[in-house]
Amino acid sequence: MSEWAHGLPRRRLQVLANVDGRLVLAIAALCLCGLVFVGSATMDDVQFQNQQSRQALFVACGFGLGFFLLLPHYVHVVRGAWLFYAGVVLALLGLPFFAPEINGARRWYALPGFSIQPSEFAKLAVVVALAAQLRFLDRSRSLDTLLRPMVTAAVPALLIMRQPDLGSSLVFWPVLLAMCYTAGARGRTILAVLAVGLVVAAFAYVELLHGYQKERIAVWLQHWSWHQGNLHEPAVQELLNGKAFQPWQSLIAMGAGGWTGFGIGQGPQNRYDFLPYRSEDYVFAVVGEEAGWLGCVLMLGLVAVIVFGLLAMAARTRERFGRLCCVGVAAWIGAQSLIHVAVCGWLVPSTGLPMPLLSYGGSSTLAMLLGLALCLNIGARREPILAADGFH
Amino acid sequence: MVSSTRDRIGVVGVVMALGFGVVLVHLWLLMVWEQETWAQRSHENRWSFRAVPSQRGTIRDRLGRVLVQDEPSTELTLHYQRFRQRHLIGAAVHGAIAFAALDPARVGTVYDYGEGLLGPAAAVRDLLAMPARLLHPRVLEKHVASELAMTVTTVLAQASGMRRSEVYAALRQAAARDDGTCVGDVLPIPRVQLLAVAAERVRELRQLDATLHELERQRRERLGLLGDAPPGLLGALERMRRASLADERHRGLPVESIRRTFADLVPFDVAAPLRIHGDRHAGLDVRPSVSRRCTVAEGSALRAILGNLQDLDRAVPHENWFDQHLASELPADWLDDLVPAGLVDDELRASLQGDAEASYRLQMLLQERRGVTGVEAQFDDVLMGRLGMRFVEHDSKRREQRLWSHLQVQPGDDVQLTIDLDLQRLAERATEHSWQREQRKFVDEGDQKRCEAALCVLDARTGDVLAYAGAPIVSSRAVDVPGVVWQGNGSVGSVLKPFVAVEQLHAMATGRPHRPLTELEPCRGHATMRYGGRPLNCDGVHGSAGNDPVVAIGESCNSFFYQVGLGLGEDGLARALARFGLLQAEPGSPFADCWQGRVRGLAAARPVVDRPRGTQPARTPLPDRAIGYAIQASPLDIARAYAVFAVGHLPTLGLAAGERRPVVLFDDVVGELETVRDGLRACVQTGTARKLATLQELGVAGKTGTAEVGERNDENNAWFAGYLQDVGASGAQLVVCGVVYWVQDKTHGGAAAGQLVADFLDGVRDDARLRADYLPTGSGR
Repeated sequence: MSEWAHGLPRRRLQVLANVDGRLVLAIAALCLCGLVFVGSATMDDVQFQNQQSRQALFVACGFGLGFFLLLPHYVHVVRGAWLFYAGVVLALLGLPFFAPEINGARRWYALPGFSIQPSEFAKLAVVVALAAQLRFLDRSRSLDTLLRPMVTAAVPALLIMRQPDLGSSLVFWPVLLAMCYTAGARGRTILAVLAVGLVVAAFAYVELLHGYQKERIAVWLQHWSWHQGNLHEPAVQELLNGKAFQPWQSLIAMGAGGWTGFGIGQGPQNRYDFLPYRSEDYVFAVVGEEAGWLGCVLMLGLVAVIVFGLLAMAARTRERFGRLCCVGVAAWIGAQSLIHVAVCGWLVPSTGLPMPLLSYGGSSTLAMLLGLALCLNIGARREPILAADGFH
Repeated sequence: MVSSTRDRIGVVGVVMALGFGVVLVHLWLLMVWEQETWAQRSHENRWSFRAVPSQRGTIRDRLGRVLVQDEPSTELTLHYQRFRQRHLIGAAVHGAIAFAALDPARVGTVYDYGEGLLGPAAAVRDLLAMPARLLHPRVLEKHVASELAMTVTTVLAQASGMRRSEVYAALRQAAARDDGTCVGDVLPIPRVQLLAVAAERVRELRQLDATLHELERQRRERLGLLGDAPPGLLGALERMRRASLADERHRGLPVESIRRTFADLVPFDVAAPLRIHGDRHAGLDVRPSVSRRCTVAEGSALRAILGNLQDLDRAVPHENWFDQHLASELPADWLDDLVPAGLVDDELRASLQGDAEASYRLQMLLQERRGVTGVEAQFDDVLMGRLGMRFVEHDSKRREQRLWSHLQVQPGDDVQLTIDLDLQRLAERATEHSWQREQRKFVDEGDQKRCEAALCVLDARTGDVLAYAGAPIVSSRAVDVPGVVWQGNGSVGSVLKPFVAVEQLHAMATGRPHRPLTELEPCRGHATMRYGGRPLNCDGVHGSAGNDPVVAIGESCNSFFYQVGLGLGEDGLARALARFGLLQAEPGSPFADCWQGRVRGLAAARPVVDRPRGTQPARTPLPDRAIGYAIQASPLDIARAYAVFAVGHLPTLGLAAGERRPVVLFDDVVGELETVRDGLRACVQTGTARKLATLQELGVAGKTGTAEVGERNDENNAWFAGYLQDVGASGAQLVVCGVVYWVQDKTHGGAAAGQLVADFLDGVRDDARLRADYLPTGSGR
């Protein structure tokens, strides 16, 4: 009799018992914190007051889908990796034709009752595609071996950059580098890739970046020279009330938080609407203002638990695809979190990048939870080596 | 060395950890190390001190009628940057200019807001004819394309009623198609319709401008304002258009980003549509304001008495004024109350208190006004209220969310003047008629300009100034204001003689140096006597009768007073002047209290007397001074002196009603005063003022005065000073002094100044209320 005659096979359910509970708890805790801070960021805003409930729905859907993603063996993901990748690339290609223009960008497909942002799923697709591509990489090869993975990452990155969505496109680079290095690329090769990346960045700055994106970089460079003595100069005031308004307000929010913050829902920058898009691009500024430095440490601690948990999972996993997926997802969540926090602290030029599992965003939350579910799936199975591994 | 995959994962982990470390350190520096700095910036972001403007006190007349008061009004302001970015017309004009600059054949074409060929209608038309492909990102430089896109989006969105995002999307699509479509055709609305809407907006702007101009014209006509009217809305738009194109800056800020008022005192029904339809009038805002409304016509003497205000930032008298004002107006602990303890730590609290004080001073400069002339200036400490201040927490749109504390605003106190508005109007009318009457007699324009008239009316009992026309301003440009007399040109003439007579009679009674009446030469008219080799003349031949003080006063015999003056000497003449407040006596002198330094609220000139100083003799001979030459005094001082004859004491003059003012009793010269009174009555009944029937009918007692003042003695100052011999129903006893400067030769005091006083009293008699209040019973016609 087919094992299916008794419902889900016991073997599949036994996988659930092997899922890393600490990681699940950390993910759940981070999602819960996200709900709290999204709620705090939107409670006084009539326009966005349903974001918390919608985010809860996204989290629930993410957990639900993630649960079902745990059951089948992740080998199916391997088989469907390129299909998934192609679908995402097609979705990105279709944006200029089928997506509505919102605030000068075409990033979302508008569906009844919700919208989908393909660029978030592109990150997962690139991780999966790179893992499928790199699992057979021979580390003795040089830069040209990495050309195909670079193209795999660059195609969706460039399509996303032209939306325009510079922030999301930046995440692909650390993911690519981390996965290539883990896959066995030499250090020199990685440096070469970095150099190529710098050249591409310079080219992009000159040719591809929009005026407002260049202005953000220029203002970021300028702000390092600001101090109490020159803040009241007309030229600086013009920037603080114009192009530098958002990052400056974020700095004020975070800086004023101190050790323990003002309390949930009590942050003045949040309550008095000094921070635009604070439930999405600047949610960590809300964390800083209302929970203080200790709250920031807690949030980053949760992220670190997840990132390093994934890396430990990768180290335990002998199967190459699974190992690379875990590293890719870890790099994705780590890099995006760090970039988001750095933007909130104006350590880097401002760019619209949500904080994984903390910011409001259905596509971002779903894509991230699916990626984490894939990793949990990988970690719950101790598979024999499926392919020759030239590594120890 | 071959590294294991685990090692590589470890390296990735280390890199991640480094990233976390860098971020955590940065956050620690930001949130812990610099927390106080950012906390202060957070407070600065949302805490502010907001001023509550005070209402200035009202100035009323004797009967409580409002002369000047603060009234809430509306002003219209222009934020040009917003206007050119968000208003259909502003965007069209600037968009068309930017579009024209792209065409080499049209470089330099500048559209404006006028009614010419390149007016706003042409701007809209030409801009809508622009090819949409120019908005494609790669066709033009980014900043040019961005500017054009913004202006075109504004024009199309406002003209069509569609949302900007929809319009922008349509433009982008048309630009991408590159099929020759003009921007005016990218929307599903015919271009003709868009142009019609634009034309309507132009018409609205012009209509508003015309309405504001008409309101201003009416106001200026009503108040008699001189000078050019403000440029109005279209004028302001033109000015700012040029400033915007030239990128003019003020203190580092673009001029176009500074909000400016282009109309004030705008009626609510005119301003309301701008507020209601704010989206159609981007850049034009309605703001509440306070204006000082004066019910008195501009250019009148009373208007000059009331004075003017100036914004405090232009009228701070000296650098210590702020400190003194704050010390006197504010409680000592106002900063502690405004920024209470416990709100923040001590250091931040001190900083906030510093900000509060700085903000208070700044808001005073911006919102408070100070009197700079007249009553507004002299009673500024009474009229000026105290600015209030609120310590508030506000949101990003500066809406107040919380009130921490406040300093109560205090309105200014009202000032009630002694001036009776109806008497003042009569006095001004009389002086104007008198001045015009005498001025017309001159042919030479220079003589006409030197002719001035003034009239002063007091209550002899209290010293209240009831009316003062023609001489409130001490200014070299007084001729620009009709009926205003300047400082004085030389001589009071024979109106001085009663004071000399009192001194002569008193000297006779007390044995002070004098020439006895029995030793006086009879008046022979011409060359009765010689002094310093010069004959001293009298206009009449009074014979021995002229030696009677009553006759001498009534007939104004110069011979009598020449001799009496010589007899009294410098000391005696000085005593006469000092006793009646025309000369400031030395401290310790019995007449020290007779001098009144100034009348608060009136900028009247103080008397100036020519007399010996040390070894330096007086420039004018003593006999001439005894008949009123080389003694300059205003009608105010002469009227005050004549009050002595009316009531027996010298009052202290004042302009503020209800004041208790000291008087100087003349108990030591009761008999002398009575003798002089006889002379003053004789002057009106049978003497030099006998031709003025009104004065006789009303029982006025007074004295004429004529002083030759021209270079060739061809012109005179004509004076009349007198008083009613009884009180009116209001308890006031009028004493009046009129002067007409620079009348033709042979025009005497009675004919010019006496007529002025008579005209005034006729007006009083013709008004039922004034007659009852000020004229003795039975003074009607």
